[in-house]
Amino acid sequence: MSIKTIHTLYESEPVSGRDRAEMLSFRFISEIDRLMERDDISKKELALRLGTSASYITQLFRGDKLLNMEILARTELVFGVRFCIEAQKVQAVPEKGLRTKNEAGNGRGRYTGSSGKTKPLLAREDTPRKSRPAKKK
Amino acid sequence: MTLYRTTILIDRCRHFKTLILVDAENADSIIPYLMQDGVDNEFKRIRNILKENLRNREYYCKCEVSGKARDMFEMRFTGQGRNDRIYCKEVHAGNKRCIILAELFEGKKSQDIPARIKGRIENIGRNYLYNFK
Repeated sequence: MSIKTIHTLYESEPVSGRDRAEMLSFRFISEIDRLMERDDISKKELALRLGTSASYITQLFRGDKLLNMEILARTELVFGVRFCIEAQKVQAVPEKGLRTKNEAGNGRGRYTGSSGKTKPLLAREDTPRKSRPAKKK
Repeated sequence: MTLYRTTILIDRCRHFKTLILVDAENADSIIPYLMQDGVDNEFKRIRNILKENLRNREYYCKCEVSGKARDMFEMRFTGQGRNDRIYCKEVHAGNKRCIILAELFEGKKSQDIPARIKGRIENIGRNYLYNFK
């Protein structure tokens, strides 16, 4: 049995693949939560529109189940939005169990990102683009 | 009546923009609770959500008690048959967001908040002034 101290509370950075997947799922959930509030939709109603059960939605929100692409695609349709994806460099953090290419011995420099910032995931309104007016000759 | 309170820092995001603290006077009840098996994992999830500035009303939401409970939020611990809450006060200073875990309430049984707890939440929201050192 491991002894827990107040310092163990600090060890909260998602380390395992599962933890990271959970956080990635939570980024989408956060956006879905915001959209639900915008449209005043309850979990039950969302479940109905997505064709799932309310308990499944709760499991997604709690991180017990991870979001899948099909649910995301249906969510886009329900709210009339499109999820925008952007990959950004983050500062490399030493991880347990994962080795960088450099540590594996490929002779290249250590990977370090210039920015530690992460941008929030945004759902963009799915409105058709306005066509440009034709130029007069 | 303003009550001056001190806090203990227990976690913060990488850029020190979100700080998670515990009310020092109630730390005796809150910290051992957070260290229990099951609760610790749930708390880790909540902290990661807060530190990334994400929303998740399943874990953390505004406490709609009354107009007196200003800036009060609740952390929900519902795993393994629990239905516990930690009432938190949010303080914003510049670009920093301080989340102070102020009061633990174990075993929520009904939709309504008991009058005693409601009074406590209102008191924290209205009268507590936190000191960050």
